[in-house]
Amino acid sequence: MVSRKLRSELKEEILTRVPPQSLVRFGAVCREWNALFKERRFVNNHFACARAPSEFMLQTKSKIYSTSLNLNDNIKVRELTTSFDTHGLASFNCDGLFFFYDKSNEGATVWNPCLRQARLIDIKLNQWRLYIIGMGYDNSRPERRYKIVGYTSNLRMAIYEFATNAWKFVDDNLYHEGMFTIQTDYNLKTHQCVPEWKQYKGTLSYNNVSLNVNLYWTDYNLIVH
Amino acid sequence: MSKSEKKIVLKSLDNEAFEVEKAVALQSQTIWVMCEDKCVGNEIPLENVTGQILAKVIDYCKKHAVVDGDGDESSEELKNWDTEFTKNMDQSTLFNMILAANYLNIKSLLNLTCQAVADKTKTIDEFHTFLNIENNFTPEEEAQICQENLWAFDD
Repeated sequence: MVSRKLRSELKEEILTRVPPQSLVRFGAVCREWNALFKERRFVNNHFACARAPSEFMLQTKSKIYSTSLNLNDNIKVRELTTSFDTHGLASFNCDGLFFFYDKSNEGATVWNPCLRQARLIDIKLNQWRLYIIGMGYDNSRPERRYKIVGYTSNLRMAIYEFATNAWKFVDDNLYHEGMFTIQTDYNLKTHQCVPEWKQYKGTLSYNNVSLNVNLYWTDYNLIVH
Repeated sequence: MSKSEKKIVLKSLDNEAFEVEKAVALQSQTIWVMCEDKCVGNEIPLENVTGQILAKVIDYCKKHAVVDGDGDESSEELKNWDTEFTKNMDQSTLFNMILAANYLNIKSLLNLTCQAVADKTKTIDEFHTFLNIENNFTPEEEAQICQENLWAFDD
């Protein structure tokens, strides 16, 4: 009889396929697993392998809920507890990862509700305060590389990379023929903006969606009559 | 090429012999390398796999082989077949299938069996028993982890 011990890499093969909403519970299996879940390599593998959970997140003013989407079953709503206060924070959601930030202050946090991990992110580049447009990833490599897209008050685009934990400018100044301009479609892999420059005057809306490697958002011109 | 050259004999740990089409067996990278080396005849001894498990592995490989125009199964059908294949396997069979898939280096079978275990294993105790893992937390540490992850334990 073969001994009932799997090598650790085979155990990991199984663990990377555990549904995200159950994963945090299995941190209580043993010390090694609890430590494993904190490794970036494992987290990336899990995001790449695990089946997309049939649930979505709801955010109220002060709380966050996970809502199951299985229509044959009773709809389950569970409150998710964070280690920080989310009251009044703006949020973005990509692949179940949350990005929260405080519009008035400088703080920002990325939160993984499945593993209950949070990372604090500086939202300043040189002396500039960054305004966040959204979050997405580049899947041209085996592991997903998550990025945050933002712009500064002098309208320059900047990208935050999780791998390097730093912001950098990705284009020239966005002033264009005396008008503020900003792109509405940004490719996180090639760093190219599609399709054309758009004149921009007014408030950027925060409705955005991340699909494949593209981050889309809407903006609009304020017309004063 | 004569008919016999297209066939290969796989011999299990408990000396059970299986004659299979070469194209079926070569989905295993391990067997592929053995055949390339030409250091074996057309009989390949597999020292880590029992006949009972090998029979199942061969079933899987036959289904997934593209042999003489039989490979036109739709991917949907193949997916359903895979689900049925692992559905009624008990934990011990699945465990041995993972070991066999790993030893024979059949990536898609390893993915399938690992996914099946991930789907079937619902509780912490099941992981302890199935993977023979010792709970090495102190009672205090365990209580603290349960407290931190409260919402994950409530269903």
